[in-house]
Amino acid sequence: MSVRLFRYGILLVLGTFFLLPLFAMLEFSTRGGLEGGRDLSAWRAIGDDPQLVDAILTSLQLAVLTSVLMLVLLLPTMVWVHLRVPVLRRLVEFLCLLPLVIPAIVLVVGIAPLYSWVTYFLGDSSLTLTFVYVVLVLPYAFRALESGLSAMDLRTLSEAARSLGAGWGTVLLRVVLPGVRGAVLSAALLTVALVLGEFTLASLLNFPNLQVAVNLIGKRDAALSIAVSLAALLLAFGLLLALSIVGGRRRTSREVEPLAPTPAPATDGVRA
Amino acid sequence: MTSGTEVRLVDLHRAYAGVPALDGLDLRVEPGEFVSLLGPSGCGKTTALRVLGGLETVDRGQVLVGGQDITDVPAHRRDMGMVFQAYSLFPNLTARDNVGFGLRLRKVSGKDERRRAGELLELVGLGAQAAKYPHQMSGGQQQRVALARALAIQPRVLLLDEPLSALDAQVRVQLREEIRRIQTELAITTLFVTHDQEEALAISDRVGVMSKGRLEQLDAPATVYRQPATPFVAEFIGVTNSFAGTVADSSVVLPAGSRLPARVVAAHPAGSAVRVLVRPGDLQVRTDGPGQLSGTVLTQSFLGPVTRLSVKLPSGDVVRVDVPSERAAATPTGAPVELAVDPSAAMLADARG
Repeated sequence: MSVRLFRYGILLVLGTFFLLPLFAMLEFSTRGGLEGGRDLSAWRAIGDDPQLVDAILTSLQLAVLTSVLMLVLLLPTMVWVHLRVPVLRRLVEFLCLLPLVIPAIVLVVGIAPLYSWVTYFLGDSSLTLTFVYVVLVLPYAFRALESGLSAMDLRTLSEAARSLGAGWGTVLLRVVLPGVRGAVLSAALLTVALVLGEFTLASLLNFPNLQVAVNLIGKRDAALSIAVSLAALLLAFGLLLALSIVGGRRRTSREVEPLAPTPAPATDGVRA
Repeated sequence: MTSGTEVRLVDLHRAYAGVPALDGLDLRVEPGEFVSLLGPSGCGKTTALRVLGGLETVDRGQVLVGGQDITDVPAHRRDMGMVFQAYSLFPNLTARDNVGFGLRLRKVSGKDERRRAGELLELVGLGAQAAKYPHQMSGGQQQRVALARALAIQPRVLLLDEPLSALDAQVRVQLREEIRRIQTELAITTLFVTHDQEEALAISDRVGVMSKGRLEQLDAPATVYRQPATPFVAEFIGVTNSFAGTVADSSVVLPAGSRLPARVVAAHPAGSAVRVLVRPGDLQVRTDGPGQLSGTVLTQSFLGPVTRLSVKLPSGDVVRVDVPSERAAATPTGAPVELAVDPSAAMLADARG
């Protein structure tokens, strides 16, 4: 009984810690004017501000583009490293984790000259932020994909597919991708969450994304900026919740019958 | 349904970080033949199989299938079915879809694919399990489906890379007999890699014993067992007693002074140090007179039709002797026994080798 009470107590404290600011945001963004009461005008204004709508669309496009480019670059690379050059795994991991330890301001200072070339060749669209965002999401995406790839017997499955007539492209699309579907979804959602909340790089490189727009709007209409922030947060929470539900369903369906024992994987190097 | 194809591996060399895994391997498998490769860990048997399947490259040598040089042909264009040691079914596909995977890649129509997958699942005794996913099947069932999947593409050669080693003993015996039945039925050229001697001897047309990247002997199972070509094969296949001694006339003198009769050949002139290799079944317990060796029974192990005795010699060496189980009562633990060696079954080997 006391253990249960302790659990509920922890849940209550943590719930309060996370939810209180959200309630505060909701309360502030729906606060009436001088006459008091509740007012949804700030939420309605989200769709009325063309600058904000553009920024929302830009951020959503950036989220999709970044997710796709990240997967196109990272997944085949990681599969290749797993299968062909496993000695490079540590190096690739190190490179992918680097953006975690490099402060955003340092990243901008380093990347700004490059972006003058990007702008020169590709124009000054905010969507060019995709390139730097791919770098930014590497640590999170790498971790998610790595856990998925490590959980499957990639070598045996790919060799089985190849012996049946599958080229490398088919192996990637029809064997690897379905096998790491959860990890890919996880990496994509982390990417979406990160891109929707990114402010520093966009602001310093002078590209108007959602958070930059929220910041600007906050200077003239605090209620609207809070409403947009809360909406963005709820969207990210919703995506993560969807991920956990999908992941939970997959696990449950696999637990219907006991898993067959898996033999020890073949060791690298000289084979018997 | 599938006609056999001749396979030839010619002078294959492959080294990993300077350590040779294949060192001039030559192997010829006749059309429709079932050949097993046997050998200790690191002898190169799996490497040979993977080279044939296109999953490993060679430093030198040729792979010929049906007279065609396929050394540089990638794995997915070799038309070889392979069953792996690890469970290799695609986890997101049902048994039927796993079997149909190779057919879909070959653009076989959906109707034909389902029919063929169903036939093969029936062939391996899993017709009723077609809709199950790999995680809903036992290890033995998964390996059966993997076999059906490998056969579905009507491969020129079937490659089996220790497919039974993860299974329990009973399923293993059952499945190996099924593999042999199916292989005979389809007359498909098959190369089987295993470290289990009993398995290899039981189901193969010929057994190849490998050591240090080379083939030591390739013969019928009975020949490999009864007439090993080299001391390595003699010691590797089955259980062998080894006695160190010196050649004298047509026998070998042991340090304790006993004489063992042996087929002495020119390679071992009188006075040379040798080892005499004798299988437990080629030593007889004598009750009607003295033998070449005498000792005391240490232990008895019941092995079904025979009982294996461990006999301690005065020198301290322990030799193993098989006696018919119905006569094992005559040689209880602690009993003194006389042992005789069949000279035709004793093999000489260099003292060091």
